[in-house]
Amino acid sequence: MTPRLNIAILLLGLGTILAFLPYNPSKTFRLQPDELLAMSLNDESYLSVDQVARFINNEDTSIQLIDLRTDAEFMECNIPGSINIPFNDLLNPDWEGYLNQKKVKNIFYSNDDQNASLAWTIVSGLGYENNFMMRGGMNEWFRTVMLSKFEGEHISARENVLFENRLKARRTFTQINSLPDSLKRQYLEAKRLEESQLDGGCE
Amino acid sequence: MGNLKVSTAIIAALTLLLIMVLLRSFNENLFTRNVEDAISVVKNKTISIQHLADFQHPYQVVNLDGDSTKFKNAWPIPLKDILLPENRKKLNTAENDLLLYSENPATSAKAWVILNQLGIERIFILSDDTNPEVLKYKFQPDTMIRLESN
Repeated sequence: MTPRLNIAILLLGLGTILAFLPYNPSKTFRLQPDELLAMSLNDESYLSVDQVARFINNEDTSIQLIDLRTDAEFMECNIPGSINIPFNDLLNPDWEGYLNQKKVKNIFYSNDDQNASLAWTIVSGLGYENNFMMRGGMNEWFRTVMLSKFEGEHISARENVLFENRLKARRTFTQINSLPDSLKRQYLEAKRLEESQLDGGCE
Repeated sequence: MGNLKVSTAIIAALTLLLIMVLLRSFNENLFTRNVEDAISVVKNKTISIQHLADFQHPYQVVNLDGDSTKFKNAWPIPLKDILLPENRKKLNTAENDLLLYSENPATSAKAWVILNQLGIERIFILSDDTNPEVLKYKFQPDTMIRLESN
């Protein structure tokens, strides 16, 4: 048998196997079910609103907040520094660069826990890394950060630090979200531009 | 003789490849569904306890907190056990629609995605709230706020 014939057999065999493979152009999870379940049971994927408030106050660049709500909800109010990736649009290739990266912690939030958990499970299943959720979403943010009050006669040093952290984040939140829509859009565009430049890209 | 050896090696390699492909194709312990489908359908897959009476189909509640007392005849399957073979079989062969319930909406959401992507049809999230994703607060802008000049 000549080498040519051997190569022909090899190619024919490979071609036959490929022909019988089911054609699946869609996105499927890369993780195995056991792996995804183990990750889902890990409480370390949650961050509290107080932790997120601290990130904002420190202008921490190692995190990226991802607001999963609609554009209208996002424009009404959002946590400063967030980008808007509506849940329905999560798999749009435009967002791949934000979601599939290893540089920063992506912190997902929505109005409550359901959509953030759905999104977190989906991106984790796809094999994307560094995914976290803000526990309780915007409802918890309002309850704990925006409406936090100290009621009592004495305040411990720890309580004082916590309260100051919330107060500072609340001020930033109110300041940014009170801007007229046009200025808010400018601010958000500037932030996205800044991020893409830090990432080495250009717009 | 040498050519025969080469041909045998090629056929052996192809057979091995074919076996690997078949094993992967028929492996039930892999995710095979399109994630985009999950995103498009999940919006209509949440029902609230308040509207349970209006649910049109026969259903089976799966309590992911492992509690069997909250709902009559619920299957208590904690999230951590959801992939055990006996539970997989039970969920796969369920005749009624499956309503995944947990006091923590994050738990039922995660279970929904995992089971949906494993190909289990007719699963819903059973929620304590009528609309679990509604903002319960209204932001009050400070009208005195101005941009700081640089």
